[in-house]
Amino acid sequence: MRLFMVELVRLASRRAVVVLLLVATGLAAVMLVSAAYDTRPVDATERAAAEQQLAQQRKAGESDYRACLDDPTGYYGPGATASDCEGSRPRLEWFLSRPELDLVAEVEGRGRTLLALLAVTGVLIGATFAGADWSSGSLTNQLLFVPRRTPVWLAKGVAVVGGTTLSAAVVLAAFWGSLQAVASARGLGASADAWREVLLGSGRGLGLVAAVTLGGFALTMLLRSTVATLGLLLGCLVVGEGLASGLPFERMSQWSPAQNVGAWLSGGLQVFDTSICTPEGQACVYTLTLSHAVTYLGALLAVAVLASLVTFRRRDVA
Amino acid sequence: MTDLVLETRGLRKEFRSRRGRHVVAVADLDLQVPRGGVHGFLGPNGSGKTTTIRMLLGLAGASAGEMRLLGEPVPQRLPAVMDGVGAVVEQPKFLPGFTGRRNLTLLARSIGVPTSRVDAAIERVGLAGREEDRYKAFSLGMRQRLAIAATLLKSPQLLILDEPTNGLDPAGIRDIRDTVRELGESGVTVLLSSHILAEVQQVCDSVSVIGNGRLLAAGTVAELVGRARSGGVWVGVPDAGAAGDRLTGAGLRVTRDRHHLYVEGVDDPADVTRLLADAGIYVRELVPDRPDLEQVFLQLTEDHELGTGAGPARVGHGGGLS
Repeated sequence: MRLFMVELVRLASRRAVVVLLLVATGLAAVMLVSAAYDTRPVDATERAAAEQQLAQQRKAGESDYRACLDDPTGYYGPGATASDCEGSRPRLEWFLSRPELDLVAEVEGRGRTLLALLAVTGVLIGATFAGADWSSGSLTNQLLFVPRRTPVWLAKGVAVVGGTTLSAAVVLAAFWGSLQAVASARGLGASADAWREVLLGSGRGLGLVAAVTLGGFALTMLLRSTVATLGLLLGCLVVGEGLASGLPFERMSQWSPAQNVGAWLSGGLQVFDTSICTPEGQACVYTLTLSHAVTYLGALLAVAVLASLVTFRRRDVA
Repeated sequence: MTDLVLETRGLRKEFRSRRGRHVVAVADLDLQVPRGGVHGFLGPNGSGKTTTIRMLLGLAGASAGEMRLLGEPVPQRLPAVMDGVGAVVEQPKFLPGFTGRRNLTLLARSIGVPTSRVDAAIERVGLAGREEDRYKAFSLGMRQRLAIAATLLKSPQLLILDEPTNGLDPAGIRDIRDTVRELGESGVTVLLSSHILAEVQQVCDSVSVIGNGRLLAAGTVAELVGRARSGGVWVGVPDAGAAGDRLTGAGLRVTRDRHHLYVEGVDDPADVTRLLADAGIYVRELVPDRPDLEQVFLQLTEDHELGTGAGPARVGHGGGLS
């Protein structure tokens, strides 16, 4: 516990960590403003312009509309009624292009982007936290005071994962809380189902942030360099995606890191893969399940953590 | 039986270099450091001093051999022992963006030492007033002193300092030397690793000399100096030519520079004055060339390189690992 508290203080005092979190918070704020702006209520001028466009469109289609009312089946086939003709007439919302603020839609949109941003921030924090220890040599000093390598590794890992995930949770809470406040101010209530979607998406997102932070930390403790870790991750991403899409085997896309992250965040993913298409070009889609994503990504993380911990316990420290 | 604070037996470290070459950094080293005073750990660069220290402190694994610190086997019992051992290995290593005090406070917290001890340690090494500066703004001397302050947080029984005066200016070297001497006198056993002979001779009570990873000699400074091959005599005379002829004629080995003769094979300097006075040459200056630790060190390392050393020369504390 003592070590953990010391590592938490070190994490909070690291300038790079603070800057990364501030940048992530700033970008989250930009996304929040963008969401609020893109869904802002239509003002009187915009409504008047839309009504004018509606009138013009309806006038242009008036003769067709009349003809449809006279013979709906001629336009829409057997069984069609006058209501089908009404349904096809231009409506005001067609010319009011902005949607209303919808939390569920934001989960898949900006919410997903924000999670990706927080995940990248987590990798960078995990890597730079461990990298600074190696590059400054302060780890050597620390081991002279606490010569127990496993507890040192664990204290650092738990501190960086816990601190980063907690920070990400605060950013997410602020983002969704602010969006809800904007929606309420516009008289748009969010249903319990909508909040369930938000909480589930955020929970999975925080799991992703924790995992990638741990991965970044573990790899840097293994490679002893922030740059080496980031290079390796980038290389793995490029090579992994290349192999997943390039090798002539069925369903190679199930080994794509990006697809599995998507499956984790969405609780399963419909994946389009040409390797399983029938000769008629049908059935090219399969489901990448949540359990597959958890197993695959969990195995990658476990290998990184185990290699890092075992190596750290045994290696000579300069 | 001597109370040893540090002991190694058959300690060996081998590794492969990046080019695949097999390197023996430490070769069956038997080292013993008695409790109390300042013990020099002397050897040329690359002789295995730092590697030995790193193995003792658990920073590097030994290929073979046994080690004890404060009577306990290490690395097995290192966590229990390290509370009583302070160490600075090579250059001090702290987080550059943190102040001196913050670096020490975090180390103190990590071992459960009250942070009030930080101020005392800072005061003791003469860093009071600069402790709120960032570590990266510290001079090399200040960094070394901060590193020593860090070791004092534990109230150590044994202090291991690896080349603590490397890169320091003369004033910095004097400060560190005084601090080391003071620590040695306060009851802390100090192991001072160095290749600077004058430093060791001035500060240390006893010395172990290693070369190529092996122990070459051990004992007190006086004992080692006493074992050195005797030196000659510097003689200043008005007529160096005539004096040289006279001494050579008497069977002594003489070399000349512009103003002096260096006479070897002299049992008693009075023989030189008598020989020259008999020839009507009167000595203006006569300085016996006393052996110092540097000569001992050079003799030992040269002998070892030439392969004429007959195993380690040990004086004083003996015995195997208890």
